Amino acid sequence: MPGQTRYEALWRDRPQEEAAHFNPAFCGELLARTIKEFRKQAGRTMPLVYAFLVAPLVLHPNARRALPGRANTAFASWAGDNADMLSTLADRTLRLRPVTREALLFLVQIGAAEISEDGLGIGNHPLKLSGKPSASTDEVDEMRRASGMLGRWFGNQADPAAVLQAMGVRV
Amino acid sequence: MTLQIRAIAIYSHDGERRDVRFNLGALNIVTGASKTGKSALLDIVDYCWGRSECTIAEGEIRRGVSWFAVIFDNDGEGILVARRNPGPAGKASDEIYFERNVEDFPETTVPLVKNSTADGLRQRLSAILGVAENVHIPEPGATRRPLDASASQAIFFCLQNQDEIASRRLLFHRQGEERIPQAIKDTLPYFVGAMGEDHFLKQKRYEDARRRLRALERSYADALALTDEASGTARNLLKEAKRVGLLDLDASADSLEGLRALLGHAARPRSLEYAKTDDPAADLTDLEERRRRIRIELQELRDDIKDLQRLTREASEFETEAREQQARLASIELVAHDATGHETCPLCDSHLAIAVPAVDEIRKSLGRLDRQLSTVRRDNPRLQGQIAELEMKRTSREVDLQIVQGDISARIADNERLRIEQDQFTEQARVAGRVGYYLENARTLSDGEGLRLQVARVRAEVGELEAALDQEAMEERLTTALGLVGRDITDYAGRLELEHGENSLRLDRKNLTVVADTINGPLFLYQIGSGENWVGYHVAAHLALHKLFRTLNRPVPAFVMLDQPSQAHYPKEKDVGEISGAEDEDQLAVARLYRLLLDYCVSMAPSMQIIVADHVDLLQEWFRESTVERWRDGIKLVPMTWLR
Repeated sequence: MPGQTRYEALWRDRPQEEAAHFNPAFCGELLARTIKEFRKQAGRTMPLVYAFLVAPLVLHPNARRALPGRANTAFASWAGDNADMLSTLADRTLRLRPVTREALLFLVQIGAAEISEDGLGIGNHPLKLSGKPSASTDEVDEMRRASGMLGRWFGNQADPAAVLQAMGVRV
Repeated sequence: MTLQIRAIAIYSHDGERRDVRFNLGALNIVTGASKTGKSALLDIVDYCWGRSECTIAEGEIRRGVSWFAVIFDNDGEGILVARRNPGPAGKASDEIYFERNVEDFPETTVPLVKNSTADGLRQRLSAILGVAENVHIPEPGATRRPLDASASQAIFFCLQNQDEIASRRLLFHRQGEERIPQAIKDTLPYFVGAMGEDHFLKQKRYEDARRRLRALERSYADALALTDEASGTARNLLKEAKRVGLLDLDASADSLEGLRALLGHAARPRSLEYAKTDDPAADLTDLEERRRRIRIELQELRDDIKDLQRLTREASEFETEAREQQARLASIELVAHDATGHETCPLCDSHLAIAVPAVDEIRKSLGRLDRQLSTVRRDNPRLQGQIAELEMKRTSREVDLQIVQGDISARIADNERLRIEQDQFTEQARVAGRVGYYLENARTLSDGEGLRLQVARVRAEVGELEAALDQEAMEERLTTALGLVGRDITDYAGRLELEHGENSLRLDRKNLTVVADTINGPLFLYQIGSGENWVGYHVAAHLALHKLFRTLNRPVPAFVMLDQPSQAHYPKEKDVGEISGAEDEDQLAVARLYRLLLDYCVSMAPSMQIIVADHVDLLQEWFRESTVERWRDGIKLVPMTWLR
């Protein structure tokens, strides 16, 4: 897969556009929001596999728009309605796996998250998610909301395996 | 005037002469055997009268004779006509000798030299006969040419050769030839005196007057038509003059005179003034050139603006992209502290193949983007300013274009107005010309009165001449004359005891024959049987006609030549010679015929001469006295000695 090779280069050697769009701080923030909302909803740490679904569902405009507005949406029926979008989700998940991994590493390194056997949890130095960054766009704001909602939605689901199966994704 | 035959002569090739002399005003009989030359006498007279063909039979005569000659007696004046023998197989000779006031034939042929042509001879004979100028105008539509009666036609009434005298269909000499019957019919009115002597002159005058009348009437009709049309035309012209502005629109006139006065006013000379502008087309060209330049300028401005707008758009696209990147990079600000050891795995402390970017690194990237974005923001207002400036210029140019466009429209409208104006002046000039022409013609029309008088005068003249000419009157006179002839024919037929002679007989002018009016309808000569009757009617008709000619002193020769009137009873090959004239019906009939001829001459004496060539020889005193030649026992026209 040609896209994969780009993430084998060091961050500063990547094309500026890609480096900026998929920088670990941003992707990490989205993950952190999902983890935080999951914990709030489910009261436990988030299974690791969910982390790999955040980037492909939130960054891609079509997928993001397909996401439900409310966290209590029935997962199975939603998956049936969005079969078209989900058909390309597996591929996208595979390509974005290095991005997610890098973001996870970044979060762990700065202590914003911790990985245990149970899953992903918030670290000793959590990100100041309530703070407002100096610059933002509508799209970025949307992504932030979407990642939070995704955390809550995942939190409502009982079995991660069923979710992955409905999405046609294997991590 | 009586023209008779004094003598006939022939000359041999050696110049010897042979005469046959006749008595004037009497019956002359030449009797003799066959082939003695009796028939030649008639042919010689015919030939010497100017006939275009010599009909003298081939034989001794044509071989042995050099000249034929006839002395006519015109009231005592001897007229010599000699014509050269055309020779065997010759048609005719134009060598004609003519001399007036002669006593006798010249002794030899020496004096006989050509001094006349056949045409000239005919004219002289006509003059001697006293044929006045006359002409028969054929009815309209006929193809034949007008024919004037002349000596050539007069002779038709005087000769009867042996074929003609016994013919059931031909009454007159040469009637069987082409065009001759019509000539006889056309000239008969003149010869019987139905046509006055001055008829020709009247006819000419009448035709001339008719021609003048036609021309005048045509002119008059034209003038009348013009006058009739005049008022209508004048009204039309008035309307037109108003339309083109030569007259006020409310100008009108009741009378033709008033109308003409108005038209005169309209047609008076005037100066035509109209705006003398400089060449309007050149002006227009300038304006159009300006418009073209402004349009080019505008196009350039629009292109510039478009380029700048493209630049602006590109800048904003970059800005959008950069902002997106900036927003995503800005997430680094959420990290509370700087972390170290980013090259090792935080979970297993192993060295990462690809180091996770440090927080600093991401912050640097964010800072770089911030700087780039500020540059874009600095550039953008400058572009906007430039676009605004260009758009202002474009707007002013568009205003210029509108002005030029307006100027052009105004100029075109101006030109159109000028053109219409010029057209109107041209139209005015045209109408003025027409009015002038009409007025000129209308003036000449007032002279129409003189024309009318002239027409009336010529019409009266034509009427008078017509009355004098009166074709109907002529026909009536002709009918009367022919009635007289018919009465005489009846008389002579009775004396000859001819079949149907008891009926009223008449000369049919149309068919040139004798008709017996029986109770069963008209009986034409050819319907009557028997050669005796045919001969008898020929003789009766000729005698009757000549009686009329002599009575009226018409220009017809006063002689009749008959060839073999007895042939019905005694055919040529049955030469009986002397007969008593009382032994049988045939003899009695022949005797009756000759007796009639004799009595006729006596009754008409001395104005009628009859020359008969025959082979009967009546043994009666009066017959003997009338016999001038007896050609038997070797005596004949051409002496034996000439034919050595």
